[in-house]
Amino acid sequence: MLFDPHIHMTSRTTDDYQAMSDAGIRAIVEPAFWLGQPRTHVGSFEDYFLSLLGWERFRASQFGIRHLCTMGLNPKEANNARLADGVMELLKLYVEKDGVVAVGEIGYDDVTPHEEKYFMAQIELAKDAGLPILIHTPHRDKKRGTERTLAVVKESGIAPELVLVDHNNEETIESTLNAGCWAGHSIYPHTKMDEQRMVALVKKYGAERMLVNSAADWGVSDPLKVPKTAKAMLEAGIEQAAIDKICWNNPVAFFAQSGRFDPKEFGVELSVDQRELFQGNSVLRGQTPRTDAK
Amino acid sequence: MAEPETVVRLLLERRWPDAKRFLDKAERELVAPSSIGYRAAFASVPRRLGALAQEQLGEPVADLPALRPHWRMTDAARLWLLLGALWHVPVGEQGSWLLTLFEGGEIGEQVSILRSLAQLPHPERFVETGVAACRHNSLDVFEAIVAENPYMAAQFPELSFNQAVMKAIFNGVSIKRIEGLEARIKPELSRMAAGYASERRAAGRPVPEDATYLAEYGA
Repeated sequence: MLFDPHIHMTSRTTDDYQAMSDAGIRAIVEPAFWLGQPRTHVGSFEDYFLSLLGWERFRASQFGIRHLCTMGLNPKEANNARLADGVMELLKLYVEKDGVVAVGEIGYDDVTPHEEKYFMAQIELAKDAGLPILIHTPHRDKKRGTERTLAVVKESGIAPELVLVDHNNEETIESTLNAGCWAGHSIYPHTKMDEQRMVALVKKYGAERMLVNSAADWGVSDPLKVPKTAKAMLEAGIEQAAIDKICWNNPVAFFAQSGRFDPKEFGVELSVDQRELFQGNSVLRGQTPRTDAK
Repeated sequence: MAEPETVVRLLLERRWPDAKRFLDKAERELVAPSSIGYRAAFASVPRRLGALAQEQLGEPVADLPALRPHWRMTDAARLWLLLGALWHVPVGEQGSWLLTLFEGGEIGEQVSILRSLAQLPHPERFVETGVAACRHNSLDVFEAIVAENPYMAAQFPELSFNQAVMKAIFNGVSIKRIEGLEARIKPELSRMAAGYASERRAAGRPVPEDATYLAEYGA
């Protein structure tokens, strides 16, 4: 069983869900992020949050995939002073919802004072709600941005085992692991990390607190990067037990700290009944529904 | 020196046979710059210009120092609409008014607004719009603020300027297209570029020429 702990399924198709299911993905976490262009109303955030909790979880279930999500104000839109406070108010409600397993993605993008303010406020929100946090690290000025992220985390007093720092690479991994945080790696077709570089990192740093994800979204990305990386690790001679740890046990253990799901039950295959409806809507368009024996 | 609005109007009337009809009608909307009527007029410019919409001005224009030859007729007409509307927006609200217009615009409208920024009175009021454009995923929008535009070097604070330059490298936009770049290369930008070069080497990927140039600038 495989777990993709960072994927934006609202931007993906049912073909992707089918391929992910066929490749062995049984659980995903969809972090709240930005939609490729800035929202202009607080209400747009609320409908997005509701779709993560509702329709998207239903869609995933129709392909035998457990869907969890994180709630947060992303760093890019934290710069929009007219919306940020309104979204923070909404988050007080939405972090309490079932299926929400962390506050995220939060952190830095341009490393502005606004970003820092809402990053820190959301760490406090997570502490109050007893949730872990999922941190986005910046694309530009990455090393410095990651170091500053870790300094803010330390100063906040949140336990490092409740912190998943994402989008690591060769230059940030040591700081993240040394800080006691979990280290996410986004495997991308062209940017961030690729499968072979990930293999090298696992050989060097082991499997402890290591995660991989596809971070697939509305851009050029690949929702099968977790299975592809698992295969590359196996071919490179990494033990199956280490692969299972990175691609299933670690994300389960990290997000189970939310107390919002039972890790044992989590490992049981979901039974699919595509005859089900969500608020009267089906994912089917005239096909024969898949119905697993119960 | 002639008023910029007058200069733009003359330019439009000289090159666009229907200019007078459009401008006279649009003039009535200028008094309510947040109205649907004004926003619709702003959006409708390319349709009204028809075949002329994408025609480039092709040459500098006296008394409009921020205008560039690659501007389209569409951009010039929208500059006129912006200049006219700003008279009717209280000074303290001009920045947020333009930002709202920008956020509600499609890509073509956004490009016109960004090209116009440096030609507006008190351009320092519109920094938030310029910086917001750098978070955009559309390359057309990003290039409109970063490339062949004097606004960024003149108005951006250092952090936003540095981030925009680094994003240009990420997006494959040559930094040679950034006006006024050299005067704003500070040690912090060189450090960021050096950091990026190091990251690329660690990943076994080629280092872009622009990153090397910035990293070594002044060294």
